[in-house]
Amino acid sequence: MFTISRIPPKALILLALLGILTAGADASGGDIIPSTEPLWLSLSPAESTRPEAKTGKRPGSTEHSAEGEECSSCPPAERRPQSRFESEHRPAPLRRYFLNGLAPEAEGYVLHPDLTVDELKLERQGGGSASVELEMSDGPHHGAHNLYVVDREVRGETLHLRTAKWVTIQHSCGWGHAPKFNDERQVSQTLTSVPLEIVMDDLWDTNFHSTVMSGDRINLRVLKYGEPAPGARVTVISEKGWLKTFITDDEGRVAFQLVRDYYPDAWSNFHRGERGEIKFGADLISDEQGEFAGQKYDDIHLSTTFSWRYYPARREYTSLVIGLLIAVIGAGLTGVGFIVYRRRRWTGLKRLAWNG
Amino acid sequence: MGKIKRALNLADIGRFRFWVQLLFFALLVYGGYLAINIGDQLPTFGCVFEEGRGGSCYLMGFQHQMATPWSRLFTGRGIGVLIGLLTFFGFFIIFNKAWCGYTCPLGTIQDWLTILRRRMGIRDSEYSAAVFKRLKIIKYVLLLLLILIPMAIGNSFFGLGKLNHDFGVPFCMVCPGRTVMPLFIGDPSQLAIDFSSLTKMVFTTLGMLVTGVFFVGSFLKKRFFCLFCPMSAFHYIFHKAGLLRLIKDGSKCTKCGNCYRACDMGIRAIAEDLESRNIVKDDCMMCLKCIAVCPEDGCLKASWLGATVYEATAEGFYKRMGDEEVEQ
Repeated sequence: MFTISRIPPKALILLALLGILTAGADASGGDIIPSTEPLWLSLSPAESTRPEAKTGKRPGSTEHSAEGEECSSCPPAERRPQSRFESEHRPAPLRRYFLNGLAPEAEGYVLHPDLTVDELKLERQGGGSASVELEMSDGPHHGAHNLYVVDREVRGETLHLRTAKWVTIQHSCGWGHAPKFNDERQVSQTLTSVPLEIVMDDLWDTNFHSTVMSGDRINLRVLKYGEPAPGARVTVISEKGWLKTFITDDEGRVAFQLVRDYYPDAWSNFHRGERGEIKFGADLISDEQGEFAGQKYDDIHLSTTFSWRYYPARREYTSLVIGLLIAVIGAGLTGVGFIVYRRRRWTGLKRLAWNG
Repeated sequence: MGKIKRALNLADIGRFRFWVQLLFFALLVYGGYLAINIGDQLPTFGCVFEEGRGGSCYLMGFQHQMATPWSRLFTGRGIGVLIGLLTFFGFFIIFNKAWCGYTCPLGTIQDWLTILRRRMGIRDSEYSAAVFKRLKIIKYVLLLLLILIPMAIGNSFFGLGKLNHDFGVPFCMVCPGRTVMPLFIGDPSQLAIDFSSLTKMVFTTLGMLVTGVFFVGSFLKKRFFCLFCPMSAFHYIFHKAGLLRLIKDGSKCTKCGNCYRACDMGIRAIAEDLESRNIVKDDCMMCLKCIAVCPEDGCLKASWLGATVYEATAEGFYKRMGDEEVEQ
């Protein structure tokens, strides 16, 4: 995704603090849990298996072969590189996600679009994985599903409550677009039982397509058990390593403009569908004493993560002015054409209509 | 019953049509804001590029489905294609080509431009018979292209390479519905030229050229775009199954030419053809203005499932002539 040499030293320190660099690292070594590393959900078990690392393909270029609908022109499933991004509008009944390690005490939930909650199946092979089974149909499962994995462990004198969040969209245009009129399915939903949660608005349009673009104003909320979490540290890192840290206001909000960080070498290499991944991490120290699993703690460290994708802004590759200019040319030529045609047909006689 | 029939035959079809068009315009352009969605297989131009739509044109889905590889047409995907076509057919047979004359928002805009031109005192334009004959072929060419181009995405023709997905909905890219309809909800984004690929650039440039042509053409010539509309050509394939029919009794026709002069599309056959009973031609939009201006009892009539719903009568003709002048 990005190389260390591209990241400024200040950013490296912050990254190391938040453990973002190690997020999604090869988990084949077992359940080794670094003390402050946040918990991440991703589509692939490790960074090294990402498609561009293995095949040299640009990220997002394997969209059509990602999980979901079969593709006749694609290689067999076992030889297809795993995309970092979920395929939109290609509903897959069984979805599998990977974790970068799980504490012994962990549980997972799925918040469905109809606001019902199910338990997420967690497996502890390697770093851990989570899977969710969705119905391939219209109705209550049509929309955005929030996945949460929460684990708990006391290390030293601190209770670490880690949350990983993932939003997956279950939609097919073939099912119709009635849910677009359901306001509850257009806004991001939250789960109040989750210790710390990042909520981002305006992620998808009314047809459940991701709409986030470079240059957009991003509005985030950080919630602690469903309530605004003021003073939480939010770290944002874009596809090419642009990194920024914010502190939430009294309402637990953070707002910023997403940078443009897609600069192809030549215009011929530009792809409007190029997807970049934006990662969000938030953490908060709570000065609460207590006991968990027989171990006493003096404070609680809550952390949460979430990632989404973004596209190049439309204004990078479209021009309204040129469009209007071409329309004016078309209109002008048509007008001239009609005048010429009328003159050629003009006989000098007026048509008479009998009105008797 | 007789009284109802007489009242219908005396009715001002122009006024009725104006209000029906307005109703359908509101429904298809803004219906989505009222949670109305009639469907995505409509035989009329509710545009899928317009967010507030209450239903959308079948051509979009049809082009999309045409990109299916042939090998997959005999799988579940083929059933989806068939269901889409049958749904379109189900909608179509209800109103036949009156979908164009009464419900098409793009047609309604053209009619409004005609009203504007008339108010400004600018003369209408007409095609000569020879030009009309040549131009009407364009819609069949467009229909063929909107089938063949998407097919070349999913399939290889003569061993040639497949087209890229930017060719996906070629007619939508040049249809003025895509550029004009979103303007009614304040969205000008479709007016832009897309430089992200050569294909997109060419298609969006053509789309904007057509948009300019559409506005001026429709202002100077009644229903200018309908002569080129592939949906009209698509309708014509199924028109014999339509429940709404336009019937002519040639034995009662005096060839006065009123029907031809009233026809927004400029179809000569409506006046000259004395043999055909079903007088719906490929360019007809079943606006039924020809019936309104026909002075011969029972010469032209519209029937729905065999029952006459509107019929030419001398009484109706003279009443309407008293109400308003026939536009020439």
